[in-house]
Amino acid sequence: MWIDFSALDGALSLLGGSWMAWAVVPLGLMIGLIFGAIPGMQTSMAMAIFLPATLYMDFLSAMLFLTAIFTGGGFGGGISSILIGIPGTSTAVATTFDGYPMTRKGQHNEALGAALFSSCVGMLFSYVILFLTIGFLASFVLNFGPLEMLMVALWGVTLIGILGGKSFSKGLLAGLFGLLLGTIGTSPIGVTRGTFGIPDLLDGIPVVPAMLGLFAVSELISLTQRDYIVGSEDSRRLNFGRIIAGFGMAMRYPGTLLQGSVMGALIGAIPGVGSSVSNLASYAEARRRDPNPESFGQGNPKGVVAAESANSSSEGGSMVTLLALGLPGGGGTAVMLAAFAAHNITGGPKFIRDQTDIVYAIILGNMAQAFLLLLLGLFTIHFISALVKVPIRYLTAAVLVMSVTGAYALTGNMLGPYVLIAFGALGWLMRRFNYSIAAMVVGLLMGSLCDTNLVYVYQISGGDWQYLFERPLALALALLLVVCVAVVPMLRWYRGLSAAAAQAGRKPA
Amino acid sequence: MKRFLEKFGDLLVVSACAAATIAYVVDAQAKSRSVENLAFIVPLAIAILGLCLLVAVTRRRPAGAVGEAEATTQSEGGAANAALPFYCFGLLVAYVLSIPHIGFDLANMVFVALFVWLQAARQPLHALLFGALFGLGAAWAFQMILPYRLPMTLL
Repeated sequence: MWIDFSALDGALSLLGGSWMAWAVVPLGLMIGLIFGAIPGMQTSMAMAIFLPATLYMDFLSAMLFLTAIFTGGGFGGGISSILIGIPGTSTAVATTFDGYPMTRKGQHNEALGAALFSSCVGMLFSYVILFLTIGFLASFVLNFGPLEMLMVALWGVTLIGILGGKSFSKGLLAGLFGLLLGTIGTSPIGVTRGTFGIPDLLDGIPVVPAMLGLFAVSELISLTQRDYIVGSEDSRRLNFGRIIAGFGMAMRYPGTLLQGSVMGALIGAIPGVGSSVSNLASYAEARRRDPNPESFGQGNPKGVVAAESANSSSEGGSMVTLLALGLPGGGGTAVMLAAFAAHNITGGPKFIRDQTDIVYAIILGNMAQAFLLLLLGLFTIHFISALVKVPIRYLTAAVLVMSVTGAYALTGNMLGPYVLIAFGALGWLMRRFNYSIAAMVVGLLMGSLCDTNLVYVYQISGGDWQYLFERPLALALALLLVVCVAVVPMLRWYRGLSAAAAQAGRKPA
Repeated sequence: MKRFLEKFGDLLVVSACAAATIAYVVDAQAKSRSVENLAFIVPLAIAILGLCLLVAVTRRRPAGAVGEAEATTQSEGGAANAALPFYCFGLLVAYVLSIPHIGFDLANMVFVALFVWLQAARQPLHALLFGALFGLGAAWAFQMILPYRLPMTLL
């Protein structure tokens, strides 16, 4: 049986006996909704900024707080997509396609209601799937040794690098450079490397200030050139009853809801892909299957349902790799992995085996979050839609101050703010020249793990590389890694050639 | 500055990345040449240097990706000032460097007021008021949460 009922009982006791865990969830949802709704402010940025606050919580409360931000951000991105036609986050791009046309037709209340309901259903679906499969996944992954873990980590970083960015070589370079930076400090055999005489770096680069710099500072500095101002259209009034009517509108398309939820959960589980891709893929699939595809892009509610159910269900999918393998699939789960480390917990199969009750509590807590999001989203949508109109310069200044103070709080000295500045500059350059920030962050988190596992492999095998052939799973993962590195650039090259040929064909002779 | 960045920015990034990688490997092998110490980082460094070379060789001309990104930003921001991010980042660096000397409370106030004013020069009073209220409020809130004393001047 894949469900451990005694652990389930323990999980219910944990959730029932912790007022803190429930107190932080609405707060996290609100933070996620606000950051998600404001264009330019990303959910992963919000999670990184509020990560220092989790140091004063127990592990379960910390995880529920961070996943609540993740959840709130999933729907928050859709609010600005629908109301002002600018996606609040990259996960809500497809919501704009039909959400904004619905607004122009005066159906913004219904669009918001449909988006909220679809987000909740998608999220609930993905966590139910996670709950049913996590036991099986853990029992499978428990067979992994250091070589398999090394291969999984390398495969994850590579995949995030090559799929997450616009350029294959730049994405991969960002991931590998992150891995190298992640090994700075004391090595697994006790040698101090790359500290260049700075004693504060003996434990390595402080990951959370570095993440704050890469996710928050670099993005906020880029935002100084922008100011999203809603002109005459900002007088749209929200109506409680019509938002609830939007719930009914979403319920009229159960097939689209289910398809979006399934696609989101599956795509979300692939490192480097996640909700940014799932919402677009689900939208495209819904349009392809529809008998009237021309209605998409003109304000078809099915488009909103497909996009929102998929981007929210990606959250549960991305938690699969985080919990089962200890491998973050993107920015949000990378922050969660940093929270694991901050609480001296190592994610992965052993964590699931030894602390199944906490894993179940996280999953059940997230199922409850879906219902809370429905209520909180409904009652706060007026406030959040007003916040979207606040000039962004006030918000960027406030968030920068919180980031710097948070970085100081994490290290207890000025090392945190200095690392934040250094990685902020690096992140800004990376964004400007199209390097993958997520790949760099995941590399930074995985560097030490890869190094340690390779040392174990060397000691177990005695330096004989043929040991790889004695581990068929590791060999398969190594082949998968090679295939990914070889196939993705070839596919991109082929697509480029096809596009160029199509363009040449269109040009008049 | 902008033209220089467009023309050579990509090259500067990969050069810095390659230089940092080489410096790290040199430092690591100077500390210990054991296989356990270098088994991961040397192959990784070789791959990084190879990719740096690949990016440098295949980099696009200035009118490519950067130019397009810039155009999008400009159109979204209206009368955007291309130098503004540099000023804002410089202000952020000055803010961080000033914290040990003037404390979080004063540094927050000055930074927030100047940061907002840089982007909305016509509303200095708003900037000053927001800087004072938010700067002090944030410093006070963090001091209440943290179990140790933050550097402060006024609070």
